[in-house]
Amino acid sequence: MNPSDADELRALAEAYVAGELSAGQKAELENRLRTGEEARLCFLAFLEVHAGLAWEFRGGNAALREHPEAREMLRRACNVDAGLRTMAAKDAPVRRFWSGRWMPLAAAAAIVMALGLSAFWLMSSRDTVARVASAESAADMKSGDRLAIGRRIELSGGKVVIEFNCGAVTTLTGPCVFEIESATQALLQRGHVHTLAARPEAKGFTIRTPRSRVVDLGTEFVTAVADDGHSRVDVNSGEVVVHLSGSDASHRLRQGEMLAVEPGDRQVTVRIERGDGTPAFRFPTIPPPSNTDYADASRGLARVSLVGGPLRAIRSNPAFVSGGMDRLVDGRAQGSADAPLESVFFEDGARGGFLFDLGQPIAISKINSYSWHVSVFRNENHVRATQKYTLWGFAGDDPPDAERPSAAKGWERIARVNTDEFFEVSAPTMRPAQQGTSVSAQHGNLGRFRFLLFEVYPTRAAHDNDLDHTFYGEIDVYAEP
Amino acid sequence: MSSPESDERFVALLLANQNRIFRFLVTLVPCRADAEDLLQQTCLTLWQNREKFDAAAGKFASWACAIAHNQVRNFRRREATRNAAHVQLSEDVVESLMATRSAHGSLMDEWHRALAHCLERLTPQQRLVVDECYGGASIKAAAPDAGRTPNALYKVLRHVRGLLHDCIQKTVNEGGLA
Repeated sequence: MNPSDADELRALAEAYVAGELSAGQKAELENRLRTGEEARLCFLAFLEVHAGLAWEFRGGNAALREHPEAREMLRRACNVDAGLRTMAAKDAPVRRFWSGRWMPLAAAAAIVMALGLSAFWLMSSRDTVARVASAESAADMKSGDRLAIGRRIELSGGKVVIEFNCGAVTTLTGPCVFEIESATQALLQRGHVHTLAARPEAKGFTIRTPRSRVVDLGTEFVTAVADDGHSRVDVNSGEVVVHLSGSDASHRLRQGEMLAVEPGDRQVTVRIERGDGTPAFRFPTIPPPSNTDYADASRGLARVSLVGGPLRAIRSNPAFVSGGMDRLVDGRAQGSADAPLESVFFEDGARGGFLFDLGQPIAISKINSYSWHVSVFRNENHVRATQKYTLWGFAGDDPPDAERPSAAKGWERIARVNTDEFFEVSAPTMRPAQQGTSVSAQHGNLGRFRFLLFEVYPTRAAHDNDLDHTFYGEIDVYAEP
Repeated sequence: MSSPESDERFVALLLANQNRIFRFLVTLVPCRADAEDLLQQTCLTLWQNREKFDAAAGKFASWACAIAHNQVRNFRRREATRNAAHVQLSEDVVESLMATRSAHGSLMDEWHRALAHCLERLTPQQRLVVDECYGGASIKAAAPDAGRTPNALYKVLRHVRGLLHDCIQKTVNEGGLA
């Protein structure tokens, strides 16, 4: 290659490295590179200078400088590496990295070796591990921004989409407080995050909340944390495993399932599942309606009464009338998808609840509720399958005001259930027609209560002004053995 | 099934070959930040697939660069759909460049070793420019610290890169450092 050709190729290589190659220069460069090995080698020689400098002058590693024990582990790892020793002996740049300058992955890998961790990309607070794919109404972020480990994102509103290098894509909806903890983990302190981790490399991506860790197994899921620490996970597709703080148990959630965790030491969880749509009421983990629970009518230990109301009772249309309260404790749920008389439901727009008197304070281990509804008039209408209630407990013999329960009046809030929210329902057709909810505690029991109050809310589609009520088929209360 | 011993050997190989993988990536993706992201992804993939590496069958560097190349292909596809501003070389040109690089792997390593030797021949000022431009985020960010405009700094850097290139060629042609 003559000197003038080499100079021209060098100029093109400079433009390529600077990311400033024009369309004309690109055509010219490609033309030269296609002509022969000599031009390609010449071009690669220029690139090698840039690549070598980029490697040698990479930034310092604060983590290593600040943690002498990490450096020591690093040295130990080096000592067992004969290959590296050989290189270091004849290769000044490599020696230099160990003595001061940094190689983040080398460091991380060595430390992982020493610590026995399963992933070595956890180190280096200075590494970018994600980038902003889009930012809507987020003042200090823009598309393309690189995000490093330790970056905290506080959104008062708007929406930000973050692509992690591992392949996970998280969509933050404000208000939201979110922190990137590693290349494959983020902390959601408050707000709502949708995670799409469909690529194989993204498997294992983790969203941590103050009370739990949600580990992706190849899926799409939503995590949310309320101001008071109430958190939940919805799985839109695939599977996740949820680990709760301070508990060895893990919860595997599949498509359409949800787990909510109430704040508090008991770690009360609400698990919601989609049924098989048959009178057998089969769910992935929640058992079918039972006639052996503490509150079942056959045992004669508990009494259930109506609070507020009224229940639906249209004299002119006896086919569309709620069943009696005893339906809730008769050991079975509905036998078909639109069975008003086998269900318990309030008059449209009414407000009320179900009060269980267990006769004496008992330690409660679990409470399950079941619903099923598909309208015979409109198959897509599942609005009456949605369960929305707050569960309260009271240990004394004289329950406080049950029509407007509150903690101030002496009720203890056990759990909040809203399957509409949990199933991310945006249209009536998306509602599961048969739903099961299980409330239990990860530590001990749900508490000792004589009275349980289900404060029931109407379920209304976003586009619909009608206030409909859920067709509850059965409520099972399990006492601690 | 990986064992602590085999994991240790794997990490040692990875440590010894990281600069090769990174330089390979920078050749295909000159933007340093992108190349660093890709290095992380590549190392992650290598680690996840460590049981598939057959030490007896082939060179670690070739296997690692093949995986890095896949990462680059995915990156190029993502960038293409993103309509990234910078121009990408055509796939056939990239493939032929990689073939050339693969055929001359030891020469590339020799160039890299020569680079360290040539860096020592730079004047303190020239060395500072390289440090500023490659040690920080970008030339734009380095320019104010260096008391220059980005264009002026870039010009100096280009000159220094030319000096280094010539020095490397001369060093290698004269029999290298060995």
